Amino acid sequence: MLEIKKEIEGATVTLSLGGRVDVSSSAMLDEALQSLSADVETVVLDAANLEYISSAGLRVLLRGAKKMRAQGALYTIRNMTPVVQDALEMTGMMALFDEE
Amino acid sequence: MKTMDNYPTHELGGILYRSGHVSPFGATILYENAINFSVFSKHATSCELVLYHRGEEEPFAVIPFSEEFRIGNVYSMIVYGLDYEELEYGYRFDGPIDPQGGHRFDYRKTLLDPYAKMVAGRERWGELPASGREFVHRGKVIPEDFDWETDKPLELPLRDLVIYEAHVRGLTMGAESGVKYKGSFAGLVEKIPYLKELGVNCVELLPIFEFDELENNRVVDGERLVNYWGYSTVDFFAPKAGYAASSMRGLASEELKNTIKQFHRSGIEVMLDVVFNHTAEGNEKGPCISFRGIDNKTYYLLTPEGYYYNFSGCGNTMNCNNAVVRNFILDCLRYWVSVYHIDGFRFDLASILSRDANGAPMSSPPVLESLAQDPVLGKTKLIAEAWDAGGLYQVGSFPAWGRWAEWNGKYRDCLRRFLKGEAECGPEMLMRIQGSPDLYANRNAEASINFVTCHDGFTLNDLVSYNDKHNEGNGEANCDGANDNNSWNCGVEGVTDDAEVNALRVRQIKNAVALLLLSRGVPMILAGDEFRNSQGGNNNAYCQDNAISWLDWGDLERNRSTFEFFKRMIELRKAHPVLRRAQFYSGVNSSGYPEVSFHGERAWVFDAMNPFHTFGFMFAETVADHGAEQDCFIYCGVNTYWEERTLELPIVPAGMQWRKVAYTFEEENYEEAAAESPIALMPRSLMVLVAKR
Repeated sequence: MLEIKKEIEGATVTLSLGGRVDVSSSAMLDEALQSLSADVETVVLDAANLEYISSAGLRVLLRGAKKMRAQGALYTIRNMTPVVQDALEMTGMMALFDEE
Repeated sequence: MKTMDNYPTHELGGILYRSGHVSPFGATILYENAINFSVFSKHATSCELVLYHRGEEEPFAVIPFSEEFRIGNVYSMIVYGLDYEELEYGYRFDGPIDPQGGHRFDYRKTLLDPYAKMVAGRERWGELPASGREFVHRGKVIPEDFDWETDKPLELPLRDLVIYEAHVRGLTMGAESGVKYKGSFAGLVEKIPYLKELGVNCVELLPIFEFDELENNRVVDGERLVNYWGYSTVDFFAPKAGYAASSMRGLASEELKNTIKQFHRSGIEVMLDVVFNHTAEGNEKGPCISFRGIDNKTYYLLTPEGYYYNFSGCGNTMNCNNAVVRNFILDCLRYWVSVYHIDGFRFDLASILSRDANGAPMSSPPVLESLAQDPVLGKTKLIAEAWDAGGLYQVGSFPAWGRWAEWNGKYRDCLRRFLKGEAECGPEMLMRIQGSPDLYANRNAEASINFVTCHDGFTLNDLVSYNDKHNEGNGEANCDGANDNNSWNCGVEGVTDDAEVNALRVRQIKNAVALLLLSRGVPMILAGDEFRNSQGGNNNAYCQDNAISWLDWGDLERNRSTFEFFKRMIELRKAHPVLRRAQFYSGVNSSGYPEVSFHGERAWVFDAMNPFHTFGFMFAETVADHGAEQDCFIYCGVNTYWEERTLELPIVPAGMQWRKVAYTFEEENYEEAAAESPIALMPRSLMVLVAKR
């Protein structure tokens, strides 16, 4: 199960993620990221309640990074649990994210 | 566009499926949870696909391949509605039970797909299966894409490599390794800054294809011994899950790909040690994991009575020159090059790949030619361990097609013997320094992978610390491992606090690495040798997953001068293209001097035919011939004698001055200094000098 809460403040969009991103839920996160408008200047993924991210989930984060890079938006992640942080570190995916 | 692939034609217990694509073999994600399965068997009479939810003992579906799903000897099927991250799969084959005829089918066994891209259930290294249950290797399906950006295999010239042979786990498991992800692919990434400082530009990893570390595991003196090296492949397409820190999260493939990408970004190639000579299924008494139950007669060399030939020393021998197996090997290596960006392969007991179906050596083995000529592998390094356990020894004669290089075992043996004082090896040493033109006259010096030590045998520290192997910890009464090590303990067996002995050992280590890095050919260093890593005299630590094998990084600070010496020698090699020249050339070049020359106690006077302990060799390097930064001469004076000797330095052109750049008798080697002829070499020491303007 994945829960996504979206907050918009000016040109900044925060997506608060809760639960798991795996094959069955990755399409939902993909849709949330890919549907962001071209006017968005900063995307913040708040991963405080994200318990698990699978290979399919990492691909969605990567697709998000490609989109944000293309539109020149900042792409950041915060409040990662050790499980999620390790997954991103071990696969080199931390490099996808800009520093806040 | 929707293709016919979107339309299931069959249904079984709610699972939808249809006939699949025969190519590629293996399990391939098509789209939206549809997976294509394709598997070969020539002699089977029927086949079933067995599907499991992750970790569950019983399958949730067993789908027979109906007759219309078989084309030729290939069974293929598309199954819909599968979550690839939660799926495990295998096959069951039925066919003749006729061991004498070469067939060992057992329809009750669930078998691992030879093309499975990941193996389930072994995510945690060394974890014993629940008691009473036989472990079944099942395949997992992974997406193959990765965000490589601009990365691809580096294609560094082979002659420019300095290879560093390392064990994924052993490199960083040690308590003082200082990495977060110990014993894993991710841990290798953390060691990249160190490797860059050392200066190596290629890591050669001991086997990383999925193997069963628990094979023959046993407890000796309270220590659980396992198959630590991993020269016993279970699955040739799958990275060893237990080597990925992220395996439990299902990210092993991504972790390995990122590791390779990070190495490439640092200018370091990644080479794999691959083991195609045999599989983990062993002999008649071994486990039935995959090949044996799928098509025993195709995959293995069998005696007329149906037993396994054992040219590998490991129970069975792969039928490498069978057309199907040959393609299997090609598919495998193409996969590793294209999907993982691997730069090269070192083939364990490669001479087995030159044997025919009856085990007889062939002059033009098809599999070796195919590998040499393959389009995808066109720039991939191919290195043979040019011997096997069946007595075939092909160093210098391995069928090469101008592509294959060899681990030069003769280099190792000669250098070891010469260094410990065997003067009769002197004349041969001259060949070894030149890249072994006596062995590779029809090729070039790139064919010679030079080494003094490798994983198999003593570490360099132990080579100068032990006369005899000390393998008692392996639980085989010290009968395993090589007896013929050409080692010398410098006066005391093992660890000692005798300062003189220790100083001599350090000197011998430095002598060895200086000769290695000043020789033409391609040098290979065993990980940890640069800081005197020891295995306590164990020269066959294949089963020691503990401090015996793991690098002791505390040694790095304790032996800093040895590390600095390695670094300096690597720098010197990189700075001087004449040392890396592939072409065998020792004639006069544009300097007016011979490009390679040998000298006795008097310069230019040397008897190269008779035994000697002391000599000098000189390379003449020029801007015009080698693209060097400036014309220069490199001279190395070697004294393996137990007393001091002097060597006259060759006269160099006016305006040039000899400068000492390294002297193994000195504890520190950092200060260059002007040198005058003759030079005095203390017992068992070596001095390197460079003359330039």
